[in-house]
Amino acid sequence: MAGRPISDLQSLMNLNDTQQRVRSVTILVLAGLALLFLILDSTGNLNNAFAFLQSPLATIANWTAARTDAFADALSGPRDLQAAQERISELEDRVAELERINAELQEQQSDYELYVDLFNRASEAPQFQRIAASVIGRDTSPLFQSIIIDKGTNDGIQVGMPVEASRGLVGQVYRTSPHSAQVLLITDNISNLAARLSASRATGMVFGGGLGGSLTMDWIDLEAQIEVGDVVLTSGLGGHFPPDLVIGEVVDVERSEAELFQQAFIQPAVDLDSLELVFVITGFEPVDTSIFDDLPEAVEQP
Amino acid sequence: MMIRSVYVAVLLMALLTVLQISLFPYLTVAGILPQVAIVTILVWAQLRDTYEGLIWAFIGGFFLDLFSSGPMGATALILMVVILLIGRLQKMLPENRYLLPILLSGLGFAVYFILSVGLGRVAGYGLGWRALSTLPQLTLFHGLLGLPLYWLLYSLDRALYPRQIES
Repeated sequence: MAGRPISDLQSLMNLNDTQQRVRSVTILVLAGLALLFLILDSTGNLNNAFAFLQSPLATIANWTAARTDAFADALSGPRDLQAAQERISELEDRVAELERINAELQEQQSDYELYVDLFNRASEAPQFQRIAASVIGRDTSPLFQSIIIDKGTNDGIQVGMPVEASRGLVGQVYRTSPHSAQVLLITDNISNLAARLSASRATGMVFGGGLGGSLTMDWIDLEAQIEVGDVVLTSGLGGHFPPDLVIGEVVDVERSEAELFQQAFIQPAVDLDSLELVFVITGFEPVDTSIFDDLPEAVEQP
Repeated sequence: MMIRSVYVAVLLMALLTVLQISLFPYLTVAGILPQVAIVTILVWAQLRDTYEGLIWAFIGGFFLDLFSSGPMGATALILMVVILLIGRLQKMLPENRYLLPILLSGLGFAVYFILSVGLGRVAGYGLGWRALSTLPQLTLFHGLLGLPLYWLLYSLDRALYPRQIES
């Protein structure tokens, strides 16, 4: 009888040891899985799994985003809302009904203006094939700059397609799922694209600056004359973007004789924080680089 | 007990991820986007224990990475490290239901942010250390966000795991 409490204690200790082992193994397995995801993602082997898991959440996000617009409007104008509430209490039923219709018409007009802007953009460059998409979300990480749109592989969206808004270039499709796609903004750290200045025709590369939404155009010839206000366009070199899409305008220039190249700081043409509708360019004629196909073969060294 | 926590974590983290991409971008305070999902994980680890916090970190990090252009698995891994650190720190500090959530949430977020920048650099995501210039305000904001979330999650904790009073 006297040995029983001791054996209970021992079994309890054993249980604790077992629990401890299970916990340690679980944590190690989870950490290992996270590492495995990192490795598989870097090799592109997670894309299908990504698409499978992202789809249902993107559908919910799409639904939420539609409701969020009304919520955001209410947040942006609480005074208007309060005033409207006071007025509604004073007005007859018929007037209240007219107010509601008016609000709906205003919302429709706002959407209409967005569509007209996009339509105008589409008619300016009819040579591109485009798909219109709504922005349904933003990157979950504070360090990366991307948006989520409501069109995916089922709509013909593929990784690498350029994305533009009515005022200019937005970014490039980075990941896709059947019903949504993630678009890397031109301001993201890993974004870089071939560009040229409209006035001087000087070429360079535009790099995203990450936080703060800045853009820098680098590798511009020292001889090139750059002025603040010069428009920066895509050059089309590399074939990832069509030529002549507006990226932004020069707001500052850094030039030093000690450097090989000069730098220009660019204000993006598009307000990337308030995007609602975008165009995904699904087809365009890339810049003709066939001249490089006929280059003479390099002479082999003995 | 643990299985119930896993179910709650999956549901809550899926919901918070959806809100993080669609609703919270409209709720910025002085230009700071509230990272509610991350602070929720940090607070849950304080309320429960490090082990449960690690599981929530893995699940939450996984959901957040689904909608980030960063490397998949990175948030889960970083959050697990952060939970281990704040778990150690919590044991060393005196218990306080007001100051400790603020301190640990702020500190936890700061470590998460620094590790994210570091891992982003190592993984070739071009993140510069100048991204850390916003760290003080981010730390303060998410520290303060930890307090209301602490009390909200405290209620959830009590609802999920009611305490029995022994007679």
